[in-house]
Amino acid sequence: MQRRSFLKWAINGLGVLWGAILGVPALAFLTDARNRLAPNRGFKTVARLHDLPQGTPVQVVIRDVRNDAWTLHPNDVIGRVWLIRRPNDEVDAFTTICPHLGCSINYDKAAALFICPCHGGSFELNGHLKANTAAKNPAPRGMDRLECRRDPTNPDFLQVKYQNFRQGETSPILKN
Amino acid sequence: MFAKLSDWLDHRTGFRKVRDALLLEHIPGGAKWRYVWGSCLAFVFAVQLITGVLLMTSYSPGDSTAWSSVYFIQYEMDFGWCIRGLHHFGSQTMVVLLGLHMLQVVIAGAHLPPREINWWLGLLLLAAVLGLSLTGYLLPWDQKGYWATQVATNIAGSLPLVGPAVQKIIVGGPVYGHHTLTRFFTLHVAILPALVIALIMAHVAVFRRHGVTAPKNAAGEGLFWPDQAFRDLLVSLIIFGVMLGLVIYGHGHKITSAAATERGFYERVAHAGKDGRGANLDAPADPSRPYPARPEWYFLFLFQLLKYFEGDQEIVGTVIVPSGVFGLLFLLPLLGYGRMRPFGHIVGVTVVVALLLGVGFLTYLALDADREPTLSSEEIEKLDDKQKQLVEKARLFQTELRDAADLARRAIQLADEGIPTDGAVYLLRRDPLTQGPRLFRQHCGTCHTHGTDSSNENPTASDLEDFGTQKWILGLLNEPDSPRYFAKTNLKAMSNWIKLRRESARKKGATEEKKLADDFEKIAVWLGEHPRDEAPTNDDKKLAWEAGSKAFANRCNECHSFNGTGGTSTTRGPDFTGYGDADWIRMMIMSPACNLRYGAKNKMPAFRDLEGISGNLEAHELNQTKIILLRDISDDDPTAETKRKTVDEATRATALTEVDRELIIRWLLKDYRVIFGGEPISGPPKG
Repeated sequence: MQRRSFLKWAINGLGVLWGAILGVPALAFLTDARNRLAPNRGFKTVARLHDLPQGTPVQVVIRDVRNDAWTLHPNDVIGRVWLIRRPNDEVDAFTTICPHLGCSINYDKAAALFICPCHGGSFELNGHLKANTAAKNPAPRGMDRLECRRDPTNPDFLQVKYQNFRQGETSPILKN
Repeated sequence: MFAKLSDWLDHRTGFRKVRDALLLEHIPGGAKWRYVWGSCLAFVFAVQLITGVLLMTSYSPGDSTAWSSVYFIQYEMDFGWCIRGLHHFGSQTMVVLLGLHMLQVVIAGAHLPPREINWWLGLLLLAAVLGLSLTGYLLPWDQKGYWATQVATNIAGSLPLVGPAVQKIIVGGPVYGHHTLTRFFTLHVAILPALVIALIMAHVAVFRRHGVTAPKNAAGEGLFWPDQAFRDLLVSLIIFGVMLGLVIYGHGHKITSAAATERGFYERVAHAGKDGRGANLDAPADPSRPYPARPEWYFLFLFQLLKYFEGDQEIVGTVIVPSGVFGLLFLLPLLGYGRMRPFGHIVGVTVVVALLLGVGFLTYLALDADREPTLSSEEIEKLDDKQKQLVEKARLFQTELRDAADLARRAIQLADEGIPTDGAVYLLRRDPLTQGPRLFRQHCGTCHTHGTDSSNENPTASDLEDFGTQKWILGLLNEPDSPRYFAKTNLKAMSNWIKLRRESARKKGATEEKKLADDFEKIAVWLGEHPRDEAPTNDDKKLAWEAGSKAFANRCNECHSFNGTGGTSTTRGPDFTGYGDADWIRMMIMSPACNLRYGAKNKMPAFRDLEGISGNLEAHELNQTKIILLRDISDDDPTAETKRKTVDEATRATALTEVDRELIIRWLLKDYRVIFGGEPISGPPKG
């Protein structure tokens, strides 16, 4: 009987050994995505100031290098940005990605609001959450503001630093 | 606690009964080491399933993504080399174990009645596993798999009557493409594994009906659990150890990654694929690039067999003999009925042993025929013509194999920087280092030379090796009439000017001669930096730049304009803004007769994408250059006719696509980055 219980222990031991030898690489491989971090992007030129109307939002695309696993896109559309030129020629930039669940936010000209077509998240033109909506506003926070500046070498060019934020949080937190 | 939970579960499911039925199998004669092979096969198959599912999470079947995704698994993902390596060597282990299992079965006489059906199930399993190997070999979509699998599908196409239709359905069209991969992928990950699992279940169930085939004199009785299970697991783990050893030894290509200079321990182990560990990955499949294809080693015997049948006979080697042998294996159990049994047993052993030996021998012959010849040239002289041919063939094969390995290494190294959207095949097709010499020979090599890469019996233009570098410029200033530079061209003004400068300096004495040489040196240093607007900020370079710029202004600026100044002389030469950089060369290639290059003195055709979408504009622009040059010729000039002919000559144009031009420029400048982006811009051809 002793021999048999030794064999059972040995089988368990060998099984655990094999599980570890295969399991550790398997787990590391399966969770490899933890190594792929969101890129730290710099400012990219998106528009010229003199093309922007005062007060009316304009949607522009932003292009940059995009790495997707093995593929390198040297100059791809990485996102879209709402630009609003203020009376003092300051420009506000908001990502079009809704902070609620990530749909792309539209501009409703008649209501002068940003409205998300998926679940009706609505935002003022300054990007703040619209209060006093008929139904409850599903968005947890205002639109996510992106850093916007003038091109240091040519002030007519507007540059934006594109970033992605986590959905559902009450304040903007970067995705990484 | 655990026992209670177990009771609870058993009360509801009755799992103990099932478990005991599975594990407490009686083994007449007791557990034996020789019974392990079936379990080992099941074990390795389980490894294949686990690693296969893991690979499936990252593999992307498709003409433009398959290779890239496998590259990514092998070189970028944590332990991808290990998972893929185990899967790769696991498939080969399965084939070896199938041979051992089969041998053990016939030796024990376990194929004889009443176990015929299980023998047949085993043969079906053998076929299904070989099918898995064959389909899996294609999936990386590398040159090796692509060309080797062509052979297999063409053999299917050679079957009488149904062949072409079967081939087309398997391949998913007339030639290999996206659907070949999606079909092979479906076979490999769904249909064949499901078949193998079903067959294994049937195989084990039918096996349990009659149990092991114990030796006649075996005494005693054993149980599968734990006596046999221990043996099975121990041998399985030893086999797994061998597989892991092969993976760690590896036969992949090494790369040096730009990203990771300092690699910690985890990084080194997790990305050991970069050090050549794990399975091999060949260059991306390219239908336009031939490859010395051989099947995986366990199919080499079929490859060798094919050599003995030619022309109409080929189908004998590809289909009739292999299916005949397979048919014979199917018939083996039928020889075991009644008094034939001892005879059937002997025939079974003989056939399987003969088959394994035959396969081994054919494999050896195939390997031997490809081996690098070690004979000296004198020994080869003594051979007869046929043997000489064989030696030559082996040598050629080995050379092609080495070239293919070089390309594979290059492709993998380039992939480390990122792969174009168009697919990995464009890594090599748009690689300046790979394509540059070929394109240079084709487009430039008629007139120019390029060191030893593109030699020319009778060059009519300069040698462009190191063009635009300090060395090249200094060489030109010292020996303008050398055949490396302007000897065969129309460009006499430059050498005349240099001769005059030398002459006058010699008359003025050694100081003046030294000053001239110094100035040439300074100018070469400055021009070698391809100067444009801004001086470099680095102090050492700034001084050299200023000195060179000053010497240039004194000596050259009259004939050679720079940043819009100078070049006023009647003997003006090309503009020197950015001399020798990519922009400078591009203008030279596209518009050599324009006023910033050689004007009417030019002899080189303008290389333009005249057939591309901007062809009209480009032709018009070239014509403008010609009109300007013709305007300078007055009708009163008695030599007007000759001059007009010279202008005609100076403004010829010939076709060169944008991508090919950029490949040549990058190669000339030793800028070996792959050219990304789709060229030419076009849609589907008009119907």
